[in-house]
Amino acid sequence: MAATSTTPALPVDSDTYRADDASPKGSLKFRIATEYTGNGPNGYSQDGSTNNSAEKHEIRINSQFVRRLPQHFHVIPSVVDEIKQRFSGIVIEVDFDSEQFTARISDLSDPKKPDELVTLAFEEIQDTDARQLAKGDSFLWYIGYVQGRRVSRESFSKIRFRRLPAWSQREVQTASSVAEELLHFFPGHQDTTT
Amino acid sequence: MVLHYGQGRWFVIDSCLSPDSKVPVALEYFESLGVDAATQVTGLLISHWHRDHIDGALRIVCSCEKAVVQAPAALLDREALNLACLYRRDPFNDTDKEIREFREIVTYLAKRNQQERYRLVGARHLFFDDHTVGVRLVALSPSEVAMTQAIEQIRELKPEGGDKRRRLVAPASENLNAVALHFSFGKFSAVLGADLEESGNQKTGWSAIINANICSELSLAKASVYKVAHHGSISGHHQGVWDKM
Repeated sequence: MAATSTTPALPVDSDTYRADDASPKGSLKFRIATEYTGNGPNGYSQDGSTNNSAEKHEIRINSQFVRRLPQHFHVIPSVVDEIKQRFSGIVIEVDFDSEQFTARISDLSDPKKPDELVTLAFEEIQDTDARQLAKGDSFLWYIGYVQGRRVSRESFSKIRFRRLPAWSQREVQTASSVAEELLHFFPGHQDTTT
Repeated sequence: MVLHYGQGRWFVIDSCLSPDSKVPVALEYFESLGVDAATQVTGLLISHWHRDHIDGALRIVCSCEKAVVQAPAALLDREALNLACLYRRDPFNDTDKEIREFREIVTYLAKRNQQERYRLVGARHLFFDDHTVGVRLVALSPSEVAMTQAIEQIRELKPEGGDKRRRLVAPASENLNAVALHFSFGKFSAVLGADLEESGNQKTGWSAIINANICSELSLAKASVYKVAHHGSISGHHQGVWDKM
């Protein structure tokens, strides 16, 4: 239930937000007025008999300065992601002709489950990722639901690739040096054939 | 898989972790039987370096102090060691367990100066042959051609400076480098297929074993038990195994 503009001034909560870059004139303090639907500040009715804290409170910004702020400065709850499953994946095969790739995935939501192989179409991922896809690319895959004040409950599936820095020449050379040392430590075959 | 080959001696083939305790299954089994892993386990074979066969192998090496670690020869080649050392401390690739496990095993043995605890395996390699008990374990693979191919494939995996950092993926063809075994204990014998596959190349996989007549050459009895290769996959099937081995 929303309060109307004729509602007399109501107690505001003590939250105060600072938006330092909200105005070209410098820091700006503003308060968000929380209007209650007849209940007290803690969700209880005026006589304390009922607790309607579960009811949503209409949040109306009553500062004339705040109204001039960009929308994203308004502290208004938007969408909430509810992640049901998370996977860690590694690409093991890419087929550009069929525009699909095969990956081995591990269920991060339930680590006891064994790894699985999945084949996904390029349309499941960003075009930029698909163009540079290669064996060994790692990604995270989130599956869940999203909902919010103006968003009805919808399922989503997001794949995010990890783009890692390149190998340095120094790393490669250091590895070669260590490998040579190990190779000399284990000198050749020890023949025990029949 | 673990083999008891008489007189309290055990041999471990490959390693995997218990999903609950994350302890190597072999060690859990030994503990349940009251086997002293430190003294009674004589060997550990890493048949190939796919994750489902090497996971937790380092812990077995550490716990089984007398066990000789044996692996396909290609894994101790310069190329494999290069790759293993490169992924040594890479903080971004936290699940390259195959190559890291192998690197840690090699480093562990090197630090303790235990050269004698590592042996290379190829076709016809003899793990043990005890005439008093009548027990023998022999490697049927990999062939020389398979080893050469494996080394070449590992070389192709190695990145150069400036290459994008990607997770290491052990090639599927590594299965051709797997160590298949013939085990005999008295009148009982078994063929353990590991993940050895058949690719149609007469010099690799099961074809190489059959074409070379290894079983006849080594007087290996026909097996009464066959642990099917590659988890029962069609790629691990060769009719000659059923007909001749």
